[in-house]
Parts: sequence; structure tokens; C-alpha cells
Amino acid sequence: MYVDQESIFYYLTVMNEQYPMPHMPAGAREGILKGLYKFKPSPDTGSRLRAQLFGSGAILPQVLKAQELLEKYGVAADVWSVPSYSELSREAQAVERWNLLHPGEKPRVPYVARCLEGATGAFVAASDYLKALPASIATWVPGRLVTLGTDGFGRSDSRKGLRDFFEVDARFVTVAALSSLAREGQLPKDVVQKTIKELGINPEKANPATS
Amino acid sequence: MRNLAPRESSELEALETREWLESLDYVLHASGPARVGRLLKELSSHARQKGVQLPFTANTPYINTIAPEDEVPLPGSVEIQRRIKSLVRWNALAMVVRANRVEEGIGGHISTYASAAALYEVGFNHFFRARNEDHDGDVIYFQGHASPGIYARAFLEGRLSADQLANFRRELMPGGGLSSYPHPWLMPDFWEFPTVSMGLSPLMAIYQARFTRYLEDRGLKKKSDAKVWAFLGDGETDEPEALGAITLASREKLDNLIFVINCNLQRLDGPVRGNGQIIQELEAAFRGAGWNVIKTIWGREWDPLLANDRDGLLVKRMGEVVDGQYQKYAVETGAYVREHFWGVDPRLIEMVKHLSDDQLKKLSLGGHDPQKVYNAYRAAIQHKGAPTVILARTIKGYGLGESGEGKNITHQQKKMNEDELRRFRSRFGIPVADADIAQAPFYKPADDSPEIQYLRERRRALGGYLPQRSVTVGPIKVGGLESLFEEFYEGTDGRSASTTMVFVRMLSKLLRDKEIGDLIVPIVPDEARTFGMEALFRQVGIYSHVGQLYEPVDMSTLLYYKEASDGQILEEGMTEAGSMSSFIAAGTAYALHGINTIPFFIFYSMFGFQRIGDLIWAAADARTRGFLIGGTSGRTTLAGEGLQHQDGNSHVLAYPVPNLKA
Ligand SMILES: Cc1ncc(C[n+]2csc(CCOP(=O)(O)OP(=O)(O)O)c2C)c(N)n1
Ligand SMILES: [Mg+2]
Repeated sequence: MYVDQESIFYYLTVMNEQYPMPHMPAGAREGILKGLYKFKPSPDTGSRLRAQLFGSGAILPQVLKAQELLEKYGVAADVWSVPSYSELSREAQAVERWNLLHPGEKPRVPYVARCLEGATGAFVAASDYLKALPASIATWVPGRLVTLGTDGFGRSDSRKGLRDFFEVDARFVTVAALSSLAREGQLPKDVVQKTIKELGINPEKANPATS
Repeated sequence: MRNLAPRESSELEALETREWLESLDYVLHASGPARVGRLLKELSSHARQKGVQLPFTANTPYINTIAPEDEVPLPGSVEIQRRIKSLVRWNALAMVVRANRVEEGIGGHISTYASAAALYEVGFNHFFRARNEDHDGDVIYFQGHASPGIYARAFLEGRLSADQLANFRRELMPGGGLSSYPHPWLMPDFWEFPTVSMGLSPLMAIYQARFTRYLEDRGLKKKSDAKVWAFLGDGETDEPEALGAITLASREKLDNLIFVINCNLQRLDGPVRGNGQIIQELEAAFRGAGWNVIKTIWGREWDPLLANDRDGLLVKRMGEVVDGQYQKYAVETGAYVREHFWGVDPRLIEMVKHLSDDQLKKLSLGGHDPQKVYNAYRAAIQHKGAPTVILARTIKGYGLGESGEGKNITHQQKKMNEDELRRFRSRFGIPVADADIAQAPFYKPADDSPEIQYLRERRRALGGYLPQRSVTVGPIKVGGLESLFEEFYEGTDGRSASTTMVFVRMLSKLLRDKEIGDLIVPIVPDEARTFGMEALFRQVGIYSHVGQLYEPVDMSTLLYYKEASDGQILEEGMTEAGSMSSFIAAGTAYALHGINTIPFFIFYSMFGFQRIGDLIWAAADARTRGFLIGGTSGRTTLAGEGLQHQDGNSHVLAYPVPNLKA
């Protein structure tokens, strides 16, 4: 910004939750700046059932927890960190625009699509912001993107209580992934049903977006 | 005098001053205050003629506005009221401390209510009238982070249970809890106004007071002597919204409006005006704007000292100490205060030589003295022709002792150890045994105790409990609406029209509707012509309490600028924030007044959500009804206007508001 004298400014959000801060994964610099990088691939490369989990900020640790939970259900999940949905979305829009105006040339591929090329299974994004934010990259995700977010007024309560209320904690990420796989026919539906019960989720709870 | 040694000159000056003051006292006794006023005016004009430049000052000395001899005693048993206040203090504190033990980091505030306890208790026991069949009820905007005290009182009143208190900030607990701050969305039977985005509540209160007048002037509601009270923090007044509309209140002579600013001289991080005096700064701003300003700075113990201040030395000293230093006195010993406040002049020291250090330390402040507060409120409700602001000086974290009183960290304090709890308990005489103190139990005396009896009797006399939100109004009648809209279903038959034009036509028809026409409240921020709405000026008139005192330049035209005391349009001038506040007042009148007014706020779309998004969020929380109309829609329809006007944003900005249909 100041070295190149760019007319830009930044909006960063910082949080008050304390947890061990990971070291920067090797090779992540470009992805951090562009808005997406693989944070923690699943060690299990052979599994038939796969999931791609996207998390940012305070919800990233929830997504990492979901990665472990999913392992128990035989799902190998990769965790992606998303520092900026808006950067991803803007870049992809710019690439699409170029493609639109240059039909005769080899289409370019947006950064987010390149990152996710070949990724399979369930795609779940969990955010501490509105669902609309992760949804802004859905077009370039190579599968149906399920978004979890904090639409609604919320309550005053503990972090744990709020994450249950808004349906963005590790349990909901897990159920969302399983449900997505079931929808694709990769899992029997009753597995999801059972998991909802096992994880202590009340399916009749109030809709956080409207309550 | 010019060539005298400084010491001699200052003594001579003091003598001369004394002579003048004595003459003035003589005139005051012989001919009364009005004569003194005229005399001072003469003197000042004479001095000016002689070339003396008198700097403008909107300030009065740093003492109470109400003289002790004009005070009446606090009604009722002073002791019982003190006991009740202590109990509220204790339960408010216990609520926050316990919540943070159960859930580290859950938050909450102790020190704000601790400084404001007397301000609220005097209101609850003597002034705040509840809404019932006989009376409209006063409208109270509670300072958001004082909520623990308001809950604690409702607990003593028997309106909230100990379980609810125990679940402060834990609304998801089985059986429910209490919301952090006043949120009608979350506690729709309790809170009426969302106030915790600082600065919005003073603004909304002003427009609320004005909207009440509007309803009365238009005959939609009986005239009433109900007041709008807004309780604010001194730090809160740094928000531009807080003071941004104060001239509207005085221009409209809103003597139904009372601000109480808790001047504890501190905000979150530290002093509000360490190097100045926030009370004097606010006094000048409000007096300059035409408000009735009542300063309640010193408690009764100061009265005899001031009565003996024949040379004006004490008043001068009071006026020269800056707030940061006053805060230091609050945390220091009496000996320190003697040395540093009084010690600057041997004559001042002399004035307090009969007081021990302990007594010096305990000289109380106006905002902690129920009698001073009572008299300020009494004067405020009696004042005619202008709104009143009460500037009440207090100590932040009052009663927390060394653990928090007056400290810079006190705003965020939410924990107290056993020792601190015990000291607080003893200071305020709460009957909790040593063995139990660690649990910080809530305490409520028996129903037949004098405290509970008194508190109930007072609320009965004042019409019931508050805060309380209730919706009693029924649905509007919409019988004629289907036919009203019929023509619009037809399209325009090949003719061109803009949706803005169509909307204005609809609005104009709605205004004529027999059943709901009167309920429509069009609100515009100096933008009616932009949207082709000027025909409405004539059709329903622009609201002005005094009507139209001039002959409008366009009187001869069909669509002249018509102001009327029963005018229906709120032409707010260029204030989107003010217009939105009117929108909130009109859109919540169904709950507050039992009147289904339907506001239409028509604004330049880029100056809506971008400019006043937080007020829109507050409107959502307040369960406001009505229609926000943003014109001109889209970034390309408003040709030629450029990046500040063309709106491609507002729908995205509207998207997060859960109960807003956009
Ligand atoms: C718009 C806004 N900004 C910041 C805050 C956070 N905040 C809450 S209270 C406070 C300080 C309040 O100081 P003051 O108004 O003097 O109130 P006091 O607690 O001293 O009575 C701040 C910064 C807020 N609630 N709203
Ligand atoms: Mg303050």
C-alpha cells in the first residue's frame, strides 16, 4: 500500500478468544494474501468419503474440531482457512469478466477454483458472519457449498451457547458435511439422523435467523 | 494598584472584591434577584462602553444551580430509600460478579450503575410514572450498561426471579436469562428502547419527545404532562448524535424532555476531560442551545462550606480544578485532599479545619445525594418552555472502595474477591452472613419488610412498574385498501411512469384513506421535491407546532409550502439521523402509545443505510414498523450524480437486518 503508493485501505477483524496460534503453514503466504489456503489436509488420503471444510477467524478452530469428528464417521476432511471471502470473490469476478469479453481465448481460471480443482465430497463453509459471505464464492466451488453463518440478532450468552444457537459449532459442521454426502447418495440418510441425535442437536430448535 | 507588590495587590483585590460582593448582597436582600440581574446587565454594558472586553461565556460557576434555600426535603423516609438503594446496588453487583464466575469473560458492568444508583432510585421512588389507563406514563431511556441496576430493582419489585438474575447474559439457559443490555427484541415485555449504541438514545429521545407533541397537535392522542427522560453517560456525549439535535429540542420548546447526564468524569479508558471540566463544557453547549441547565455537582455537606465562602475563594477553587485532578481526589485520602485541594490557600484550609480527614474525604457529590437529585428533578419537571438537562456529578464505581472507585480500570470491572465483597456488603449494610459472602447471594427482604412495602407503595402511587413494554393496540382496518390499490394492478397502459411517481401517488391516496389516512406519517429529510412529493405539502401540510407565522413566498401557487400545527408531514430538514429517529418513534407508537402510526421515511438512498445504519439496526431491535423508501434505486438510474449518490449498496446493507423486508 505505502511502498507501491496504492489507494487502498484494509479492514481486519481481530478476536478476543484465546487459543494456541498455529505457525504459518509452509507455502501459505500467497494464499493468505489471496484469501484462501489449505490449512490442514486430512492425513487419510485413501478414504472414499471426503469433505472440504472452510473456516475463518474464531470459527476455524470449530472446523478443525469437526475434521476430527468426521474422521470418526469415516470421512476424510481437508480444512481450508479463508482469510478473505471478498478478495476471493472479487478476483473470481474479475476473471469471469475477462473470460466473458474474450470468448476466443483460453478461459482463465479463478484462484479459488484453481485451489479447489479436483477436490471432492462435501463442501461446508462455517463463518462467524452472515452466510452470504461464504456464499459469495459458491459459484467457483466444484460442488454444492453448504454455508453456516450467524444470520439473525443472536442472544447474550457464552461462546459455546452462541455457537450452538447459530448452528456454527463443530457439531453442526459435522452434520452439514454428513448431510451433504447423504444428499449425494454417498451415505445412508439415517447416518445423519443418528449423528444429530448423538451430537445432542435439537432439530426443532428455534431458527436463529428469525428468532 | 498597579505598582504594588503582588502579595499586597492580591490582598487589596480581595478586599475590593469583598466590598463589591457585600454591596451586591445588600441589593439582593433589599430588592431581590430581578434587581440584581438588571444591575449586572447595567454593569456589564457600562464596562463594555468603557472598552472592557468581556469574553463570551455561557458558563455559570462550578456550583449547584439550585441554591440550598430553594430546596425542599426529600419526601418519605430517607433511611428506607437508602436501604432500598443499597439492596439494588448489592444485587446488581452480585449479578455481574456471579455471571463472570460461571462463565469467564461473559462481561457486564458494575461501576456505571454504582455511580448512577441515586439518579435512578430518586426517579423510581418519586418521578417515573408508569403507563396505565389514567396516564400516558413517562418514557425512560435507560443508559444501556446500567442494566444490572434496572434488573436488580425489578428483582426487588418481584418482577424478575433470582434464577433470571443468576442467568444474566445467559439467555439460552433453560428457563431463560436476562439480556446484556436493553433490547426489546430479546425482552419484549420489559425493555422499550435499545440504548446501548451510545449516542443514539439522546437523539431518539429528542425525536420521541417531539413525536409525542406531534401526536397531540394532530389530535391523535390526548394532551398529557408525560415526560421523556434520557439517562446518559458523560462520555456518551462525545458521540456526534448525542448533541447533534439539541437545538431541535429547544427550538420546539420541548419541555417534556429531560436529559440526566451522569457526570462521573470517566468513560471507558479514563477521564472524559482530564484537562478540562466536562460539566462546564456541556453546560455551555446546552445553555448555548437554549436548554434549561441544572448542575447538581455538590452534595449537602458542601452547603455550609459554600455559605461561608464570603470571598468566593472556594467557588473559584472549585472552578479551576480539572476533572483529571478531581478524579485523583476521589481515589485519595482526606489528608491528600486537604493538602492539594484546600491547601492552595491558607484561607481555604481555615474553612475546613473543623473537619477530620475522614469527613473531608466523605464530602459527598450532588449525584449521590438523593435530596440534591430530588430537587433537580423537581425543578426539571416544573420548567416550562425549554427542555432540561441535569448535569449530575458522581464517582464512577461509587461504593466499590479501593477495588474500583474512581479508578481508570473501573468501567470493565466485573470481578470481586471475597474480601472486596465483604467490604461492600458492610459499607452498604446488606444482611448477608460472612459464611455466605463468597457466593455473593442475591438478597431480597421479606414482602412485609419496610423496604419492600415502601417500594411497592411508591410504584403503586406512580401508576405501576417500569420499564415495561406492552402492546395493547389492535389491528388497523384495511377494508378500503384493496380498491385503493386496484388502479396500480392495471399498469400504466403504455404510458411511461417511474416507480417513484407511482409510489408518491400511492402515498397520496393512502393519506386520503378514511380508515388509515390519519395514521400515515410521511418523513422527509429535505428531499420531498427530489421525489416529486411537493404536492403533499399542500394536501396534508408540514407539521409545525406553531403553525405558519409567515406568508410563504409561493402562497399564490397551488402547491405552496404549507406549515400547520396539525400538518402531517415531518419535514425534518437535512438530517437522516433525525428522520430515522422520527421513524422509530412513529413506528413504535403502537407499543408506546397504543397508536398504529405508519411511518414512511423517504430518503436519498445512499444517505440511508450508509449514513445511519446503526439507527436502522436499533429500529429493528425496537420492533419498529413502517416503510423505508430509498430513492433513487440503483447505481445507473440516477444519471449524472456520481459515486456519492448513485446507490448500488443499500440492498446489500439492508440484507443483514433480520426483520427488515427489503
Ligand atoms: C457507539 C458505541 N461505541 C462504543 C461503545 C462501548 N462503550 C460502552 S460504554 C462506554 C463508555 C461509556 O462512558 P460514559 O458514557 O461516560 O458512561 P459511564 O459508564 O461512565 O456512565 C463505551 C466506550 C458503545 N456501547 N457504543
Ligand atoms: Mg462517564
